[in-house]
Amino acid sequence: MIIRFRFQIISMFILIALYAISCKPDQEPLKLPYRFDVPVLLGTHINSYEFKEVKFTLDLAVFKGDNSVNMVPDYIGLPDSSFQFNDYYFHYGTDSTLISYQIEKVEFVDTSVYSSFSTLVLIDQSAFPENFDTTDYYNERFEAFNALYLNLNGEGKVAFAWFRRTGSDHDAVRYINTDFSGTWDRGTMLQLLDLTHSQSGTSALFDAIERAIFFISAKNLANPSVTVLVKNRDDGKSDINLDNLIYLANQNHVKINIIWLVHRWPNVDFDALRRLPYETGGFEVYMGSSYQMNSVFLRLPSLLNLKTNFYKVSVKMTSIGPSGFADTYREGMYLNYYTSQNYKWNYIPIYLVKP
Amino acid sequence: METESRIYCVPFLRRTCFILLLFALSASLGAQRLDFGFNFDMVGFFPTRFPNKVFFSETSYKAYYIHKLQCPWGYQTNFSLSLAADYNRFFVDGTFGMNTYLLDGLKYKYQYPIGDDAFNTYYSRIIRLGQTEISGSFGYILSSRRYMRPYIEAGFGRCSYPNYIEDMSDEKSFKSYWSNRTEMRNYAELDKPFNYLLIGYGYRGDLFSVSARYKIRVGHHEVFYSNLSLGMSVYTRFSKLRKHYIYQPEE
Repeated sequence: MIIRFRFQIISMFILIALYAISCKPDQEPLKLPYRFDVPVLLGTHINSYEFKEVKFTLDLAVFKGDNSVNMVPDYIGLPDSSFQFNDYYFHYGTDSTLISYQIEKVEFVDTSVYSSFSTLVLIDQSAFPENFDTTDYYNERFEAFNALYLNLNGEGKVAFAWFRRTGSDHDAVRYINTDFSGTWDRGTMLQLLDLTHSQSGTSALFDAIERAIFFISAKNLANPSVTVLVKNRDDGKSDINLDNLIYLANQNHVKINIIWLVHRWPNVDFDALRRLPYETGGFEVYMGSSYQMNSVFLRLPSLLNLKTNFYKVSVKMTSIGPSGFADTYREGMYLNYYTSQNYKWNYIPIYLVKP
Repeated sequence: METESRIYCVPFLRRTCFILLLFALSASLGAQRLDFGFNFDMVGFFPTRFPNKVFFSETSYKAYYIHKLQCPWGYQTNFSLSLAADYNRFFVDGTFGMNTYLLDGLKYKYQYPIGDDAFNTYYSRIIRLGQTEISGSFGYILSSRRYMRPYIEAGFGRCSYPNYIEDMSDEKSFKSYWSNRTEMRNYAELDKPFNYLLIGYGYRGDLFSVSARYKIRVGHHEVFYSNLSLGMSVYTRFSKLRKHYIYQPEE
């Protein structure tokens, strides 16, 4: 009997020693997806538009893809020399004209315009002429959508939809969630997960934007916009043309934001990509890498509420020679700079219209 | 960021002491024999059922497709000490053990969709070090006429907080991996203590037994988790009680 109880006492002592070391570890925040710097053209303002000289101002937000911090900060302190245009000669017959650019002033300003937003994220799921596998093979866009949805923090509401045309159908939009929501929803994200495996058909870009404008304007929401992730040009089968689409958007006070990521530039309609945001008050992002998509979508709430710092770049464009500027002018600015690691460049397409 | 850590040992200690006292009591109440055993579980199967085909990463913004039914298995070194009190064909068994739950870790497979209609395959390896468990079971000897007497048992147990390690790799061999990528820590909840239901079948001699014990995690858990262990035990007659009262076939 004495031996039996001695054994039990020893067992208890061992148990106490072993269980006393059990602890629960802490939960860490989600790590943001890998990302690159990205410039966003918020707006273009024409200051004067003459035959020989055009003065305009670009509002350009630049976000830093700093992977050492778990956020996407504004890129502060870019030198004026980062904003560059390429002078060139325009030849017409035997005449040649030099188109020259001069950056007159660069200011770093901040803005806060809206308190909330409602945007329909419209995803191009067409596969012709190219699909996302050429530029986003590893499906970065799901992480970008998920990061946007999880980090809304009450700043606005989002709905998701995608579009493609198989055959000649004009009703090409498929809505993933029809109610605009400011809180993360598992069911919505489940439908977005495997979009990379359901790409087909051609792009019904204009039809899809038209349907999206009707959809969002019927909801009567604050600060409405359609944010289109563009892959291909409209296939030409849409019921509506670009001019009427811009008119429709303005009539319904819906801004069109364009985010585009392509492998080959001829696969997109530059005219549409420039004019849609320019003439409806939206923003435009050209991405050379899928890793920029993460930066854009993580900052989408601040872009849609215009709560961001940006560079105000004033440019003078002159024509030296017999030719001058037409009533509309398409150009692009380069953003070139060195970081501690490497040289970076980005392209920002711009569109100018004589007022 | 919250940095508070909580110590969860107190409720567990209370249960442990309770079970031990129960056995002390049962032994004092006229058990015919009291056995002390050393158990070693060498092979483990872990049938696991995930409720959804998709789960969301806990470290990144990805989500993964996962096969709902998975059963990692392998060699393990689960040691335990047991105390058994016999009452004719019935016995009461109390076990206290220290487990590894697979030497290579529990490996679960899942996939992320990428271009070309393909998937990237990933594995999570869960290693639970120093997880102790305590269990109590009631058994019944099915036949006492053989040298190795078959028996069945059923009972309850509880596992303590482990030292939880989870790594992630894109190859099953884990030759290279991302350490501390806890992709399914909160989903599988294998970093937490849990109660389990125990059923077992084995063959028991005077000094030696082999057994299969199936432990099913119970409680509010999304993921069904269970463990089938194959092991052996060595018994020493701890008391000089009346062995001939039990087990001996009538002559």
